[in-house]
Amino acid sequence: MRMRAMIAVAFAVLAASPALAGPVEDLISGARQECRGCDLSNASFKKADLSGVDLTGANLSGASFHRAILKGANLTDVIAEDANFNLADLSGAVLAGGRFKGAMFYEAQLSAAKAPGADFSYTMAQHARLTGIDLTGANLDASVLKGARLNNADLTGASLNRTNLDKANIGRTRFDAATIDGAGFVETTGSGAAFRDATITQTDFFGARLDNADFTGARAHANRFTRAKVDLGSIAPDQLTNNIMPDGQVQRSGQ
Amino acid sequence: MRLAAAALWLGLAMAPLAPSAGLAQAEAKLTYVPAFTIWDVKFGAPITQIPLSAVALIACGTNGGPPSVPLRDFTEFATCPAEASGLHEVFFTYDDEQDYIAKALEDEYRFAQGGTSIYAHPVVFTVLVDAAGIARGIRIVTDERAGERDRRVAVRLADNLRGRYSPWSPACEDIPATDGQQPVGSIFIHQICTGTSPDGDATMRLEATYFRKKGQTSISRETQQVQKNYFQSATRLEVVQQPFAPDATPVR
Repeated sequence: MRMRAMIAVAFAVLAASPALAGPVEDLISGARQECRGCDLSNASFKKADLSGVDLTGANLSGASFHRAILKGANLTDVIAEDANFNLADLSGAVLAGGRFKGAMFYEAQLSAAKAPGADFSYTMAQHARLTGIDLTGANLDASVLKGARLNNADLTGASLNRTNLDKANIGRTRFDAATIDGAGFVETTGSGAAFRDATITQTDFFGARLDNADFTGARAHANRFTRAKVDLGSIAPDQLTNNIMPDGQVQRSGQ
Repeated sequence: MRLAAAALWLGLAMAPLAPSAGLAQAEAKLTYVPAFTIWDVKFGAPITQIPLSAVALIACGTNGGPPSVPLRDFTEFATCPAEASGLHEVFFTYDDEQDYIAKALEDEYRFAQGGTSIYAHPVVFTVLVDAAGIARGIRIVTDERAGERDRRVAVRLADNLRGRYSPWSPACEDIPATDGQQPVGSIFIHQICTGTSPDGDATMRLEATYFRKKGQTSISRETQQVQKNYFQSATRLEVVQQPFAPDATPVR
C-alpha cells in the first residue's frame, strides 16, 4: 500500500515537471530558454514570446512563428525552410548561417538582425522591416522583398538573382560587391545606396529614385534604368554596357 | 477538367445527404471559416469563453473604433475603463495566420473570409463585459480605417444584419438630416432599428448611416480638388443582455 502511494506521488511529481511537457511547450511557457539542435519542425509557436531564446542549430522547418516575439533570439545555423515568420518580431535576432529557404517573413520585423551568410532564397518578405540588418554574403535569390524597408542594411557580397525589391526603401543600404541579376528595383526609393564593385545585370530599375547612389567600380550590363532618378556617372564607361538609360536611350556596348 | 467540376458540383449538391471526408477536404480548400466568430459569444458566460487560439489581437475598445491598450488575454478586461453602462469594452480580431500566409503567397482571394469581417465587410468587433468578467453584449462597427470602396458600401452591412435579426422583429425609424448633414449625391440614409430577442433576454440596436457631415464636401472650396473620402458611411450594431441597454447616441 505504501509502495503504491509512493509510486503515485512519484508520477504526480514527474507529471508536474516542466521537463516532461516537451521542448515546444517549455519554450512557449518560458520554462526553457534554450533548445540548441532540437527538432522543432512543424511546431507552432504562434504568438509566443521567445525573446532571447537560444535555438542554435535547431530544425525549425515548417514551424509557425506567426506573430511570435523573437527579439534577440539566437537562430544561428538553424534549418527553417518553409517556416512561417509572418508578423514575427525578430529585431536584434541572430540568424547567421541559417537556412530559411522558402520561409515567409510578411511584415516581419528584422531590424538590426544579424544574418551574415544566411540563405533567404525563395523567401516571401513583403513589407518586412529590415532596417540596419546585416545580410553580408547572404543568399536572397528569388526572394520577394516588395515594399520592404532596408534602410542602412548591409548586403555586401550578397546574391540577389531574381530578387524582387520593387517599391522597397533602400536608403543608405550597401550592395557592395553584390551579384544582382534579373532582379527588380522598380520604383525603389532611397538616397545614398551603395553598389560599389557590384555586378548588376538584366535588372529593372524602372522609376527608381536612387539619389546619391554610389556605383564606383560596379559593372552594369543590360539593365533598364528607364525613368529612374539615378546618376550612373561613377561607373567606368567600359563597364556600363547595353543598358536602357534613364532618358530612354538604348546604350550600345561602351557608349 | 469538366468532369472534375461536375464531380465537385455533384459532391456539393449531395453534401446535406451524404457528407464525406473527401467532400470535407474539398470544402476546406474552398473556404476558410474562423474557428470562433463573434456570433459564438455566449451572453452570461465568462469572457474567457473566447479561445485564445482563435484570436490575434486583444485590446481595450474605443466605442467601436480602433484598439487602444493591448491586453495579454481576456482576463485583463478590467484594464479597460467602464462605459457609462458599467460595461467594459474589449476589442479582438480573428486569428489571421491563414490570411497572412495568403498575403505572403500573393493569393489573397484564396480565403473568402478576408480577416476580421462580416458578410465581407471589414469590421471592428468588441465584447461588452460586466465587472465580474461576464460577457453581456457585443458591438460590431464597420471599420473606419478601411479603404474608400469598403467604406462606401459599409452602410449596406445593415441590410445583412436586419435579415439576420429579423426574428427579433426590429422596428426601424428613418432619422431626418440634422446639423448640416447632406446627402451623398441624392442618397441620404440614417436609419435606426431596435428589437428584442424572442425570449426577451437581449435587445439590439442597429444604426445605418450614409451622408455627408457638416463640412464634408465633395470638392474642396479652397483647392477645387475632389475630396474622395469626405462622407459618413457606417453600420453599427449593438446587442446586449438585459438589464443593460445599447448605447442610443445617434451618429452626428
